[in-house]
Amino acid sequence: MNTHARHDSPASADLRAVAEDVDLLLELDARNHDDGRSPEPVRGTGTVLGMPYDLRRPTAERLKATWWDPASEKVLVPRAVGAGWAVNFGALAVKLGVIEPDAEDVPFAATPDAAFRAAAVGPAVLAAAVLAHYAVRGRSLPETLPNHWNLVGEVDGTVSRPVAAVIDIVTATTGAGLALCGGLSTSHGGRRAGLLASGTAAAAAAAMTTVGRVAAQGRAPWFGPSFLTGLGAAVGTSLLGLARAGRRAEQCRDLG
Amino acid sequence: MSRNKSVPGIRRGVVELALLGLLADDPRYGQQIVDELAEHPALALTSGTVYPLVSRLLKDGLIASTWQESPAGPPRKVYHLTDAGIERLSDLTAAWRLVRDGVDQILKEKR
Repeated sequence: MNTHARHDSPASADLRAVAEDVDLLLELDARNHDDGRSPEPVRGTGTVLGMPYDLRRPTAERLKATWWDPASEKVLVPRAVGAGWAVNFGALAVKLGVIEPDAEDVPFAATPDAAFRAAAVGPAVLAAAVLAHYAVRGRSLPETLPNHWNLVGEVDGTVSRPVAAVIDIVTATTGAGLALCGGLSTSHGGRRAGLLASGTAAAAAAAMTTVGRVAAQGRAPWFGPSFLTGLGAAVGTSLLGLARAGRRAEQCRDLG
Repeated sequence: MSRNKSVPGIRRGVVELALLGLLADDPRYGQQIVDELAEHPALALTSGTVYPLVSRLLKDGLIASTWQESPAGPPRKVYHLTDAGIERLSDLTAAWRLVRDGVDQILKEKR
């Protein structure tokens, strides 16, 4: 090796040129993080003892992005609000083979209005069922009803019948209202799907709780898993239906 | 090759370039992109990495998608480069070649 040549070589200029091009590729590196998240921590989010948390005000868009991201392989993802994990129903649907990871260019962007309006019917039906339950059976229910169950399904909290009715009816009608907003809104698909999913979750939770207050008055280890499964099925089915409608719309656009 | 611990960092930075390069030849559908990138061990990716990247490239207008009938089954979504994607590929390819040649030169001088 010619040492003299090494000192006089244009290596410095070469290194500068290389550095500029490396910057370009490093920019791609930063943008290509596997989970698509910004490399910088977002204010109000973090982890404690390995559990993720998000203290920011929830938005319909962020709820939608958490609950429906079929492009991601992660079925369990950090919750959009609070601590812990939530189910990415999009990833679950892909794993179950009921939708493709890229079924839609942008989730729910092509979903037709009719599909959003149809998705609002489910929460409305659930809210009507809760109202009907208390209207028809209210007086025959016990004076106190279960309000909380521990991990083994034992009742460890009760409320009076009127309070139970108010909790369930308000939750159910709020859910139906949110879903209706999503169904009738003119904003973009992601926000509408978020509203519908939130409304469905609230209405389904109220309906499941109403059932539990009557059917799970003793020790009921089945109630917790049933509650979570029912809630997940309601939200997942709603989002899957909207996504498949969006896929159909894209296919109609391209295939005629 | 993939036992080199430095490969993952460098690999992430050029995945976009590789994907755009694949689409330069012919349009491809999503699983096809995953499978062809998997043929190169240093670039081996899961669908969980490719599809988010595809979403981002769609959003950036570098690629576009079209549903097409498939002879073997249900319709498939096929991706192709846009004019902006062709230009981006050209820029990235030039940058990659300069980086590769520059690093090769430096390594040669080190021996």
